[in-house]
Amino acid sequence: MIWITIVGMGIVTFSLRASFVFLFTKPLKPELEAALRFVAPSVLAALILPMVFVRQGTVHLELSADMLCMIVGTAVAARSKSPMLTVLIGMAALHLAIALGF
Amino acid sequence: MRWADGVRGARAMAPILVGVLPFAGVYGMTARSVGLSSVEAIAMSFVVFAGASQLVALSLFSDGAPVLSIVFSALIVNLRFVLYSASVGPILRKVSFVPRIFGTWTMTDQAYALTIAKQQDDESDIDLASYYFGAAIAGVLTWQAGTIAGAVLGVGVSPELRLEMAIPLTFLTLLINALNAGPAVAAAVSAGASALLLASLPYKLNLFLGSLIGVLVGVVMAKKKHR
Repeated sequence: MIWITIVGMGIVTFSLRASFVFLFTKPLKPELEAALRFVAPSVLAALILPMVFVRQGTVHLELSADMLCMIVGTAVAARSKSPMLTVLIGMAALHLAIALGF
Repeated sequence: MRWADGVRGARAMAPILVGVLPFAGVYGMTARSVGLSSVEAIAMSFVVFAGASQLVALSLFSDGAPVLSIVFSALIVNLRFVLYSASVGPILRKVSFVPRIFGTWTMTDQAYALTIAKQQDDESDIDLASYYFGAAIAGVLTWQAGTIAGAVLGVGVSPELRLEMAIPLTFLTLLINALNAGPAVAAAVSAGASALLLASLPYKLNLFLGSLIGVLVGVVMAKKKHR
């Protein structure tokens, strides 16, 4: 199954990249271009929040090690904008929180 | 193609790649920790070559999501490539078929951003196609090297390390970089909240509906701002 997934993802991703290189050679409509600019913030937020707050289809909002990790990560990301620092300090915070019994 | 301009593209890419390399390493190690073999992990990087969607796929895969949901998530996460395709398209159409295919496959956020910035920089004496290929090749080499290193070193990674938390953490930095104006913030907040409220839906439909709601809110807010 993993191979079907890989090939499927590959076809979808290549098609998106190829869309305006090979298929449509006219410039993007301004409305579409404006909408596409909101894809990144929307998708990322819709990805991140469920990864942290949802377990088995239900939302858990109580304080957990994962949540503390993400709070620290958000602070580091906002200040440094560095993925490497965010991962390092965020993971350290996660394990500290686990060690403290969260 | 002009060699010197290709080197300039690759050089401009270098500082960005310092951040891409560990991201690729995290992908490789996480792939192993959720049960992919090193060959499968490396193959995904070659076939898909889009980091964020690969990490999402790993996270869905470890939740036991169906194939179709994972492929669909790649469509959503990589939708932004349509925008890049439209911007880089005119440059790529100047080169012949084989390099055009290669340039399409190696399209990344970073190579796109650098090339478009250079184009608007209005420096007349630069071959943009060469510049783009320099940046794109540096990007693809870094991603594959990092993936291979992570996948090979990731053999003995214990699940207790909770390495999968590196995924939302890397996404956090991408998100914060994308929050460049009020409408983008509104889009992110509404998308995130909807994705949580709709979390009980099957097939990760909350990702699709949440993103859709976010884009709509962003478009409406941007229109209001212009009035």
